[in-house]
Amino acid sequence: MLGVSLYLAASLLAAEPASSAEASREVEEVFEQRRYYFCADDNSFVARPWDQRWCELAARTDYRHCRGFERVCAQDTEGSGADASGYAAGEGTEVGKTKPDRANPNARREREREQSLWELPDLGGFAKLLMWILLIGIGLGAVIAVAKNFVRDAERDEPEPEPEPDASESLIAARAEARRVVETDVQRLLARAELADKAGRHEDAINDVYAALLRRLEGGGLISVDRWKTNGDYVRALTSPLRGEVREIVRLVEQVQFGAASAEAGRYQTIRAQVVAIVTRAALAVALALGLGAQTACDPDERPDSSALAGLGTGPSGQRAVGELLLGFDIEARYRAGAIEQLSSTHGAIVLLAGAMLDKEDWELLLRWVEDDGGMLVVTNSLALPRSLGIESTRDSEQTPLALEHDGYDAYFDELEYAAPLGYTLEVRMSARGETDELLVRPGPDLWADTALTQLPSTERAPYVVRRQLGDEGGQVVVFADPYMLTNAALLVADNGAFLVNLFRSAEVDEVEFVNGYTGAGADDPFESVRNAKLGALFLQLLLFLAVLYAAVGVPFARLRDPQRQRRRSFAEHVRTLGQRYAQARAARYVAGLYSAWALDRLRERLLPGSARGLLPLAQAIAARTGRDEGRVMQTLVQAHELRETAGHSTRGGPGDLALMRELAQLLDETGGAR
Amino acid sequence: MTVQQFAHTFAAIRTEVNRVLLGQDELVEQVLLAICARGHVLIEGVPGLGKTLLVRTLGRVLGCEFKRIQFTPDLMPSDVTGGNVFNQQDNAFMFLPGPVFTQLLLADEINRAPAKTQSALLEAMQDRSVTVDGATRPLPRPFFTIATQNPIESQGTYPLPEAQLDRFLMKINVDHPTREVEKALLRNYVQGFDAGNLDTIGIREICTAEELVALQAATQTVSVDEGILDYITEVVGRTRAQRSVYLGASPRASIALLTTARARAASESRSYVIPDDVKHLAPAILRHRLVLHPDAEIEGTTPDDCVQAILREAPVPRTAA
Repeated sequence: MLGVSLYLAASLLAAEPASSAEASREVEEVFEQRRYYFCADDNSFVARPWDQRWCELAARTDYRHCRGFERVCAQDTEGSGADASGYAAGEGTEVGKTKPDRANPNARREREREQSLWELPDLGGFAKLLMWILLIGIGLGAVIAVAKNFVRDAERDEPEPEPEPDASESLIAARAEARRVVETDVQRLLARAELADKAGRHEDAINDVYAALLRRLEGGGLISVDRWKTNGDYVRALTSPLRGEVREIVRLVEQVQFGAASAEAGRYQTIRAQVVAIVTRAALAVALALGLGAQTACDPDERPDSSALAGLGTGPSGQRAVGELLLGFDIEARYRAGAIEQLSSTHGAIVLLAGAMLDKEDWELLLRWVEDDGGMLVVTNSLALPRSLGIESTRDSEQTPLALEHDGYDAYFDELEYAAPLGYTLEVRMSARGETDELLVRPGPDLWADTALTQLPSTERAPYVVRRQLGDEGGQVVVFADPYMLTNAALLVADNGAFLVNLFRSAEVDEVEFVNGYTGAGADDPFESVRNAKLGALFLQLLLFLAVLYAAVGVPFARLRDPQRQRRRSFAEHVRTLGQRYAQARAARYVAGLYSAWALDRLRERLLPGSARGLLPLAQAIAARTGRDEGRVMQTLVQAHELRETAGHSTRGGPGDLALMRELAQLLDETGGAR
Repeated sequence: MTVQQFAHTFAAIRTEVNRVLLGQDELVEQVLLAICARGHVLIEGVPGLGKTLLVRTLGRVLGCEFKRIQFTPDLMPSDVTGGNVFNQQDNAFMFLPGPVFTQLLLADEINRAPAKTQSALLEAMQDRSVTVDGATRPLPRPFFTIATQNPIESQGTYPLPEAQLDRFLMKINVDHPTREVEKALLRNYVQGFDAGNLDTIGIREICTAEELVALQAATQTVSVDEGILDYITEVVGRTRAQRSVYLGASPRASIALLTTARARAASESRSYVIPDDVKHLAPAILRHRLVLHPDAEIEGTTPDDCVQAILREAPVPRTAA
């Protein structure tokens, strides 16, 4: 009684088998997507030999779900030299496009590795010595230059004295400077406003909520908030209808800030409601814009979550449609990018596709995972099975499409029809690892009564798909004789789609990971990525370049600096420029003469006003005022007088002219200023 | 009068004046604000831009007595203020008032007269009274002067002295109209508009002189926050520390900013001044009060550049930045 109850409970908990009609409907939806180019009516898909092996079976179903496949089957195949066994899950190509070499990734990697080896010519002993000396010299030079720069920069980077604060700095500027640390995060401003409101500081709350509005508008690129801008500046920067809404908020805020309106809770709530409406609308608009952008950027036929299957092929021999079919039945299917070594103990399924490269350790890991964690391992490449599993594949004598049948009673697989194109079967030996269950055997009864499919005697029926239970946790290994049942094209024939869905449903699997030749090929860290991409030498060159640049320019290289202020020319510079123009015109003597005349006049005005007497009284007056020797002063005055008289006749000046002008300037300075 | 009534009347006046003066909304608004703030206006622009027409229209719309003085190089101060004339019948001197005794005075092309004659308006503009031969006579209320001048580069002009310029509340620059405005102006003339006869378009008198005085009084009810006073002193104070400015704005400029900002607030139906009022009016109020260094002038710097630079530096009170 207990056993019956447990059986019933298990039956209720288990997922229901997918019917033929459900699977067929889902398959049709999957192949309606544009990515399955070979199903398009006007496709020019070039099929490979292994793609065309499905043609005969697909023709018997009148190419249902995939009308374009008829066109594919009618074309000549490409790459007929490939392995007829079809253990490479090629995608096929469009005409004129290059097909990537996915047939044997291992071999391709080996080729790349060999090509990447650096082959240096034999330079000879002396040349090698010279090269090393040169390299070491360059390296030492760079190190010394860098060290020198460090020392130099340490000296140069001494802190400059802070300028004294300007005494004329006004009170409002000082207050504003004291408040320079301002909050700019919208959400924090709104939260701060709420806190201020609860604390009864309604004016602070209004200021904060208004600041939140401004920061939101600034975040949207509509305004830029500056200390010198008024609220009117912000409003004018906006466009309708936002301008009107913000103007209304500004009016309410300014009534509190500058008017007689009191800051009260009701007014705060009014302002907050309007601000939040704009803030959330802006956020919503951004979200909508992003969403629309994403929608328009993506393929409209994209089914949910199918991007995780991007590593699988979309041709007849690819597996993406299988994954999407599983997704349609709520089984989380995805391509596995991480290495097998990183396998986590999840209760899901791993499908090893053709081309998956596993070494002995990987197999051990996988089988242990099946035994200990109850995982499900689906193997489509039976040629590489470990011997300990006791299952081997053998080539079937028949090379024609054959029907399959389910052996024994199983609610998941009975009452469905199966078919596969060619000739591998499995040979099951006795093994210590679990019991074997033959899911599909070949050939089965003739599915199409009007055709002449080969009927083999029942004694020659060999298994095509077998399942072996491993461990006590319900783990199982499912082995396919060849990879063809797990391809996109297989879904076009009979009830193969329903079989695949039920295969996973019967094991109550809700996660399926597909493993192929590229699984685990990615880098685990940036260094490995650089190494794999062979960019190490390039990065070293860049670092060397930066070191040399640093050595040449020093620390200031790439250091942030304040923008250089544009300085206006001072009046002295104007005068200096004027002097240079005179110098270029060779008019130095002329200028000295003019200055002498001007200086004599000024001295006479200051010391002998109203007098037109000669130089002697002037020299006496200067000597009396300055205490200088009268004779020296007289000599200077005479020279100045002569220079004034002769300035018009000679333009070529001399060093004496400049000395005389300085002497006169000194006299002027001592007798009442330089002007 | 409430600020709402003020704003209503102000808008009506502006609309009526704008019917005559096309495309000069900013000019009309600023002149009206200056009048409401009891200030005088100096309008600078090349001939033919409608400066005189504006003042004549204002005289009609505001219901004020209007007189015009055409300043010429030979104009004497007594031609402005009037003077004592001997009356043979009474055998005594009697005062013959000059054209300054009016409510709205148009001093047309004021910089065509020498400084001596220009200075005849100093007392009238500041104290609203005229002193002739020791007798001081008050001018009618309201009294305001709108002077026009040609750009200083024009031939036959005399620059106004700083003391005279400081008496003007605002200096407004008038520029050429846009093509569209000019075309609309021509269309008006095609339809019979005559600038010499404002009756052709039926200009109405919106308010009386008494109501204008009430408007001026209403601006006093507008409140001014402490932060606004800080902002005004900050802006004006910075004109004195500006590197390009030799002589900055006086405290009279601060007062002018304050009173005009209150008028602008009332014109927008507000009972309080906001920083935007000050910032909006600062160029018109400060530009004629700044004397630039010669080297700044050589480099092409204008007072407007200095004011704009100051407004881009002076922090606004209660800013969120």
